Amino acid sequence: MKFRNVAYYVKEATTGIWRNRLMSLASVIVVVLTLLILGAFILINLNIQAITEEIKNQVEIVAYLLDEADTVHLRSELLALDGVQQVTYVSKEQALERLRERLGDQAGITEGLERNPLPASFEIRPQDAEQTAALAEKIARLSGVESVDYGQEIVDQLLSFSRGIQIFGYTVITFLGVVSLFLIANTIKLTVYSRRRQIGIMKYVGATDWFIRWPFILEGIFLGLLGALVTYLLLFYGYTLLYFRSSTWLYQNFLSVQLVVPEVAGRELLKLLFLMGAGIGAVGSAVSVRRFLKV
Amino acid sequence: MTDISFHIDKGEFVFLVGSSGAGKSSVLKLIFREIVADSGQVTVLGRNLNRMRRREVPHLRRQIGVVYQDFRLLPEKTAAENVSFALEVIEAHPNQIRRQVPRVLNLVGLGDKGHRYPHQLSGGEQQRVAMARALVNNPSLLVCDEPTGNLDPDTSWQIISLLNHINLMGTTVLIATHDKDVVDRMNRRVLELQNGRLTRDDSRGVYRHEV
Repeated sequence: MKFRNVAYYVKEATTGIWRNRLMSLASVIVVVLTLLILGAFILINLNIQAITEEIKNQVEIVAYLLDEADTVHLRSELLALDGVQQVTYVSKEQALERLRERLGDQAGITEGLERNPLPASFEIRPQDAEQTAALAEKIARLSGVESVDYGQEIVDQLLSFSRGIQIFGYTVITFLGVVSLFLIANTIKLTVYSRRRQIGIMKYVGATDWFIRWPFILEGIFLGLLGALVTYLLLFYGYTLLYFRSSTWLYQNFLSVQLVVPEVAGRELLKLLFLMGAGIGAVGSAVSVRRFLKV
Repeated sequence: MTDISFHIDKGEFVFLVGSSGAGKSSVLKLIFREIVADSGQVTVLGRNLNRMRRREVPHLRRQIGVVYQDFRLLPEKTAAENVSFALEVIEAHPNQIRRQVPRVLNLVGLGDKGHRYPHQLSGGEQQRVAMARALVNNPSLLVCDEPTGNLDPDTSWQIISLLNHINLMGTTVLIATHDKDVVDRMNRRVLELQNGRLTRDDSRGVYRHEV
C-alpha cells in the first residue's frame, strides 16, 4: 500500500463521514449503544473474575489431627503432595487461643475446661482452588489426620456459580457482537449506497476492488473507534463513580471483596472496546461494500 | 445473442446500430467485461476475456475509455476533478495527473471550464467532460453507449466530430447509437444488430440499409 493511497483513503473516509454526517452520527450512536452493553458486561465479567480469584485464594483445607499424630512427618508429607501451596501448623494451644478470641466476652466459659478439647490442625492452601476437593480427599487418607474440612459446599457452589456467570457473559458478548455487526453493516450500507455512483465510475475507469474498498473500511473503522471512544468515556466515568461509592458501602458492611480498581478496569475496557469497535466497523463495511463491487 | 462475429482493427471508427433491445448494450458490456459470454469467444486488445480472471479486469478497463448517454459525472466534483478522479483511483502519479488533466480538457474544448461543476455546464459540455475522463489515461479503445442520446442535433454533431478527431489521433472508436442523422452523415463502418443477431457489416454504411 502506497502512502499516497493511504492519504487518499483517509481523505475519502473522512469526507464520507462528514458528507453523510447525520447517518454517521446515527451509526456512532448505534455503536455506542451496543458497546455500552458490551462494555458493561466486560466490567461485570472482570469483577466476577476478580472476586472469584479472591475467593479461590481464600480457600483453605483444614486437616484436624489426632493427638498422637507425628506432626513433623505429616508436615513433610503434606508439602510433598501435588498442588499444595502452603502449610501452616496450628497447635492445640493456638486453636484454643483463637476460640477465646472469637468468643470475646464469653471467653470465660473455656476456663472451666480440665484439658484442651481442641485438636491441633494443619491449614493447607491449595495451588488451584478447583482441585480442592481432590486434594482434601488425599489429605484425609494420611495417617494422623482425623478429619478434613474445607467448606466443601460453599467452595463448590461458588466455583460453579462463577463458571456459570462467565459462560453466560461470554455468550451474551458474542451475541451482542454479532448484533452490532449487523447494525453497523446496515449503516455503512447506506453510505455505500449513497456513493454507488462513485463506485460505479471507479469500477469502469479500472480501479481495483481493494482501492474502492479501503475508504469504506476506514470509514467503518473510524465510526467504530469514535463509538468506542464515547463508550469508553461514559463507562469509565460511570465506573469510577460506582467504584468510590461501592468501596465506602462495602467497607461499612465489612465485606472483604473489592471492585477492580478503575485504572485496571479502564485499561481492559479501552483495549476491548477499541478492538471491538474497529473490528465491527471494518467487517461491517467490508460486508456492505461487497455487493456494489460486482459491476 | 447468437451469430455475432466481427473484428475491429486498431484505429477504426465503427457504429453499432439497432433498435432498443437489439443487443447493443450487451455487446458493449461483453467488450468491457461487465458480463462474460456463455459461449463463443471475446478477445479485446489481444486478451481473451472468457478466461480473464476477476482481478485482471481493472487493468483491461484502464485501456478502454467509456462514455455513456447519461454522462455519469460526480455532481459534487468540478469538471477538472471529475477527470482527475479517473486517474487518482487507478493510482496514477500526481505529476501525470497535473499534466494530463489540462491536456484532455483542452482536447475536448473545455480548457477554460475545468473549475465548473456539472450543473453549471450544458449537456454537450457535460458529455465533453465525460469524454475527457474517458481519454485521460490514453486508452487504445473508446467505447460510447448512445453518446448523443440526451443531446440536440447540433450538439450531437459537435460531439461526433470530436470523436472523429480523437479517432484521427489514433484511438479506435466504437459507438453504439440509434442516432440516424449522425450515422448517415459520417458514412463509416456500420454493424447492425437485430434481435441479438448481427445482420449487417458495411464498411461505409448508413443507419437503415434499403434492400
